[in-house]
Amino acid sequence: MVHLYYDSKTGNVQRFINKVIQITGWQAHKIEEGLAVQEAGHLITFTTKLGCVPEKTQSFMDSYAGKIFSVTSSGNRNWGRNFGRAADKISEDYDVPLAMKFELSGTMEDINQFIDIIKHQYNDSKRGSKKLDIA
Amino acid sequence: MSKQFSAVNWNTPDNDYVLMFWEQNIKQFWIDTEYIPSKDIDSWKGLSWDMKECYKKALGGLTLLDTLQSHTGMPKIIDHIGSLQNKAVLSYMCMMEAIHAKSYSTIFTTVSTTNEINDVFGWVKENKFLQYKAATIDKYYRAIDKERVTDEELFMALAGSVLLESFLFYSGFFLPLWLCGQGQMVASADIIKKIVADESIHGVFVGLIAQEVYSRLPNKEEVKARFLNLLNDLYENELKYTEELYTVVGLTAEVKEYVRYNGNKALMNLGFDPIFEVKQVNPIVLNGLNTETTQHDFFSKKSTNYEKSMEIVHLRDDDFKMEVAIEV
Repeated sequence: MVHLYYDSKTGNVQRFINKVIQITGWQAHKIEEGLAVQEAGHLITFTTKLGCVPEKTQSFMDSYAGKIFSVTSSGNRNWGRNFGRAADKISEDYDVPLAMKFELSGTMEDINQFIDIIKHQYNDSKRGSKKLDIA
Repeated sequence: MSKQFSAVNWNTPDNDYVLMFWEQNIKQFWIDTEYIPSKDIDSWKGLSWDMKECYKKALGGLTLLDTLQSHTGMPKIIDHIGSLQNKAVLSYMCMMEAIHAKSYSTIFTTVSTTNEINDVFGWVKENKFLQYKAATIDKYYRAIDKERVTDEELFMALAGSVLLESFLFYSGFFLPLWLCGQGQMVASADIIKKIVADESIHGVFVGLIAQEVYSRLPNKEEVKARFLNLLNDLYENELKYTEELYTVVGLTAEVKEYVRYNGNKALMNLGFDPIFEVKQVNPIVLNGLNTETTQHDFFSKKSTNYEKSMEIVHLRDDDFKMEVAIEV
């Protein structure tokens, strides 16, 4: 079973996750204070305050970075180089491979691409080591 | 008993997002005079007559939308929002819309003569597609210009605002971003990109409030269908506007694709699924958005990559007590 850990504030990531789990049946866990992580999985978050990592995501990663296989961020290309930059920062700070970036709640192509990447690029039992060149 | 007036109390947040939006809006503050479009004069002279006309009209159209948004859209909406803190964020956004509307004139004044500028503003008043766009959105704003409104009326006004911010601006934004992506009119594009960033956050915030209102509606499907009709109507109008503006410079197909791409983003800001098929976002426009200002005159100009210092160590008297005595 693939586990997804996600942070959402405006509902964009929530809607993205809803569609992903509807298609795949994967297990999604919303990042809240006190969330205990048993299984390793993938992180999906958003970018806030001009290219920053959300606080909840930050403290989640401080505790559980070792259990995260890949990071994905929602964003908006209108922010130029800050687009989905939370994913770059997390990838660098915690040495977690960047899976992908999508805009707002993602199009169907984004959702399919995400599922494809998670299925084929990362093995649940082994942490993927290569960084993907897709952003 | 007479009406009881409440003061906005920021000690207790009204919801889990308003403070974040307030802070980000404040961080994004800028004024037009911090930028120097005069650096574009040589670039402007190098553009063809048709391209200049197209550029001026695109900015004229944008001015109309920002005028509508600051004079009618935001003020009417503010009246019907319950949270006093949300109202405060909207009134800040309203003020920024006025700065946006003025900033196009800052570009005009730099590159055009008064006669040419007056012609553009005259064209704005006469162009039927622009007028249709403004009149259509204005109708939904005017519908809430009364004491009590239904949730449906409020939702349609909020949705109209999101369509303006996240969708209807982009047939105009296309050209300055496309030129900037190729190194032309770059200083003016700095202003345009600040506006794009502001409109992006406005779309998210107003979209969030619209979603709250939508969740209270008893007839969701009916209202959604009404909204999609409005979107479609405005989309058809955008296609015609695009043809009129961009055919002469050969960019019609690219602009239409960009309009569809942003239509999807407006839908997402309202919590709906994207409906337009988009093959590729114009890479030159994306390059324009990604271009960062390299020249940086700190005293008169803001660069797009300005960073506020966050870790400040205060000076103390002790700092000036030198350990080494210098012999003279």
